[in-house]
Amino acid sequence: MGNASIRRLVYAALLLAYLLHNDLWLWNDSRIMLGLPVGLLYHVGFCAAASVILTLLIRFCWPLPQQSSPAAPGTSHKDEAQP
Amino acid sequence: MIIPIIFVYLALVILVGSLSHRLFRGTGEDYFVATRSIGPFILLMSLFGTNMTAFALLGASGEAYHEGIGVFSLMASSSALIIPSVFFFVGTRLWAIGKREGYITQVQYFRARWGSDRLGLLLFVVLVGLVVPYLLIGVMAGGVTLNQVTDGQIPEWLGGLIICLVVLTYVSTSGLRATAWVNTFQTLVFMILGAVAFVVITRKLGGLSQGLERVMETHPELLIRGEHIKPLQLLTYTCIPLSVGMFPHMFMHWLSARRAEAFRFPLKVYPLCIAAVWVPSVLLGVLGRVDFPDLTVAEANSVLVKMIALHSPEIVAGLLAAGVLAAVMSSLDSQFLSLGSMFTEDIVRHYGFHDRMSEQAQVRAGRLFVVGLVAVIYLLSLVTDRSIFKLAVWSFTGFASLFPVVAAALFWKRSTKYGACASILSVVVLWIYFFRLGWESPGYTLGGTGVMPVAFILGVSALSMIVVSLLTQPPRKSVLRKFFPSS
Repeated sequence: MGNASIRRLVYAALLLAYLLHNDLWLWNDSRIMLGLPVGLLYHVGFCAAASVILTLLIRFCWPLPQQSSPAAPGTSHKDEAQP
Repeated sequence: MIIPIIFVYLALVILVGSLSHRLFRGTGEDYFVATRSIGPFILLMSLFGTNMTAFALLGASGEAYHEGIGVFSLMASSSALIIPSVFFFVGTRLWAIGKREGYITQVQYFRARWGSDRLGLLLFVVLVGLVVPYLLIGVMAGGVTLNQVTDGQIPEWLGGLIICLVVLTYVSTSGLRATAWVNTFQTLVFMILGAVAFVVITRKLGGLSQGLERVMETHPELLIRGEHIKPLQLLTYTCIPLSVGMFPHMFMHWLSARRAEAFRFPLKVYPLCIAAVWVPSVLLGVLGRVDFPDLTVAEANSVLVKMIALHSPEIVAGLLAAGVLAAVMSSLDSQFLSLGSMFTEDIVRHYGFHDRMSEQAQVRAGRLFVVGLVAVIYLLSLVTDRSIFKLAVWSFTGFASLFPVVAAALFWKRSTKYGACASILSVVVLWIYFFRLGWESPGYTLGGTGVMPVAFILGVSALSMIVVSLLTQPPRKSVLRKFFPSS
């Protein structure tokens, strides 16, 4: 699978997560699972899933060119322009 | 016991702030963006601490007390996805542009992006207008909380004054580096102390399962969303976290990153931090309904304080007070500093000195504005009615509705200054309109459908940007080459 396809999949996962945030099917479900109300447990899991999606975004869709080393402090354009 | 703990904590905050001063270089860039030298961990703690106000500890429990577990899905888990996504798509790009062009404030970027001083000035007025009530709420909430936690021993006016003086001490001396260091310390404090309070209380209740069983027997409606939240409200509330894209203090923290890679760790961990803070707050609010069944909306905001007083030793109450102060101050400091940088860079330096101002003069002006702002905000907090707390969600609504401005600036080459002006003005007009409706009836949604006003304002703002940009002359190629070099 090419990079472009993987990127599209990751963006699709992000969109899907946004849609799945609306868990209408658990709206009136008062079961307790793993010690938590299921409606709360789902959203705790959602937070964990968000972390995974962000990790994938960073891995496959990073928007900026890689930097090989940290920028030396005080070397921004503005500092260079100082007399 | 509580008051000595609070003062020891405040002394520690000032100590951490003063330690950072050893690295202060005396330049404007160092004062306002820490010479863009902040690493991943401190960046995470700064971003998270700045965004988490006292609401995450106290207000969330108060909301959960009445509305149940749905508060978490409404306010926390949506933020867990949207906020780091905004950091990813917007924050990293603004960091790169800010570093390349030497920007310190949002207004500098937007003014250059669309080549318009007037647009910059309009945005300055709108951003300041939205941040000031937010600051006022922070100072007042700090005073109220200190008053409640100490059982009235510290009056509200004194609580607000203490908070202002401590923040002023470290922000005015070392600027953003002190703010970032102190935020790191304070964020760790309120995360750890929130967890401690949760463990102590649930153990006293015989464990979380037993506590939830009692809720199930007495208030089962709190364990579902039921009628508390409408499905459309859950959907449209996801617009609110977009506000981070336009917060001046968030922009300032983004620019402080040492390099783009410094964003990676915060992006991955941010959703987990949200869960770590909000789950205990929401659960304690729900559990509090059993012990204190008849609290009013205002009283419910202190349900956490009441639970601690009932179930834990006094030292935990003192530690919680420190945690709440941490949450309040870690937001206030960044907001004060960002306004100080905006006044210095966008008004004094740009109009008074035509961008020729020595580094020392910038630092001096920055400090002066921070001191002046803290004094003004504190004095305003003494005469402002508590009904201003209702403004909180409206401040977020305003910032979120401005999101199309930053999205267009970064991603849409064809956007023009007229489109941006139209977008901002549409937000101003609609914000005032809906604010008047919402002030009279808190919890107002469009036609009672659950659709939050922010979704409507955001839509109109985006549409205004698109239509007016397409109707006006495209931006110059030289400007596009500067901001979209790869094309």
